[in-house]
Amino acid sequence: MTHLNLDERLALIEATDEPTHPHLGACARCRAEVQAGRAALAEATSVSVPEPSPLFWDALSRRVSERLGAEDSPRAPLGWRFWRVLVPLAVAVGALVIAVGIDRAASPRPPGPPPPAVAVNGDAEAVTTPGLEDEWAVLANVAGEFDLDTLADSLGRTGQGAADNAMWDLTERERIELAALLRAELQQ
Amino acid sequence: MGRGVEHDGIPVPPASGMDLASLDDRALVAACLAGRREAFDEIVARHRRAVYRVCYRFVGNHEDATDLAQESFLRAYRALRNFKGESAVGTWLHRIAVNLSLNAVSGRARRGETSDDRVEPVGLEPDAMSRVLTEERAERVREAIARLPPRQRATLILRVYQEMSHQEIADVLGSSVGAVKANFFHALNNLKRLLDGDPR
Repeated sequence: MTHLNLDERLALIEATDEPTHPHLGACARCRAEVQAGRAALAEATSVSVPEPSPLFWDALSRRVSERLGAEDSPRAPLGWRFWRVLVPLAVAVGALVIAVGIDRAASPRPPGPPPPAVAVNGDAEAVTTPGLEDEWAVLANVAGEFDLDTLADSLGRTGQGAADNAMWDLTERERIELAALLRAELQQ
Repeated sequence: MGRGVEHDGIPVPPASGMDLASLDDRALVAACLAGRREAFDEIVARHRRAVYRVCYRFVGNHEDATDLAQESFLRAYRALRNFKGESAVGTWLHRIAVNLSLNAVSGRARRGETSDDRVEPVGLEPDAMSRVLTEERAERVREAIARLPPRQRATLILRVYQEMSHQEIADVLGSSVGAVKANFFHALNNLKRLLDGDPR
């Protein structure tokens, strides 16, 4: 005997009226399965969800809205976030480099001894090239007048520490790329 | 109303004079991504009842269901840019709510907590007694549903209480229609067995 398939059994279980199928009269197993399924479905259907107060729905909306208000806009895709932060920062670094260049051109140093060999050990603090100290001083002066939060505002981010937040939003890969770009700019 | 900008190919009406209630869900998502957060408020208003109810079916109490519904919307908002429009917004929200609810109940099960907040009937009038007995029976059904395997439980809830089609449930759970039907059938069989006191 061929039993009812899954679709047929489900159709009979979910049927609004008493199920009628020629097979059910002849097959006790399928009949029992369908009856058990219908009984379970009736039990499940009888359980209702208590209706909350009518005021609850607006309160829920308000809760969600307030939480969202405390958050940023929906997260932009990686590329968009990346360029939104990286491009203005790169422009800012470029401006600093130009400022250093202008300063160097305005006050040329007398020729001196060749610079000492720089140990490539990744430790920037250990590099003490005398000629670079002036440039760092100029850089520090210019950077001192540069407000990162203003930059953040120009990116559409507002609030105290927004620039820091923008940096923290970057992924590890984005930070590495940003660091590489900054290094490249500084080496030019 | 003039035609506004487009976001991912979906026209976004201009902000001025925009009647959000007249927009469909996809247009609301597009408007939200274009910077109009109030469009998300409209999405919440449309789906809050369904999302709350599905959460309630999993956790069985108002407080947890409220928290889960809220969290579902927050997660949806944060992931709005990942919404590709391949399914309906409602289906997508259900998927988030079901996953959060399953995580919540499995975490609670690990901690040995239950959703049981029954009040024992003491000296009640016949009407009240009848209501309590009905509620006790309902509680037994809720407990039995809570003991179903997660997939069967989710399928049963979405089918019986959210009245979703097999295809919609498959979209929510990320499975095939055949698997949904099989899970639903087994869920009903297991539910009957549990209600009959068979602990297998």
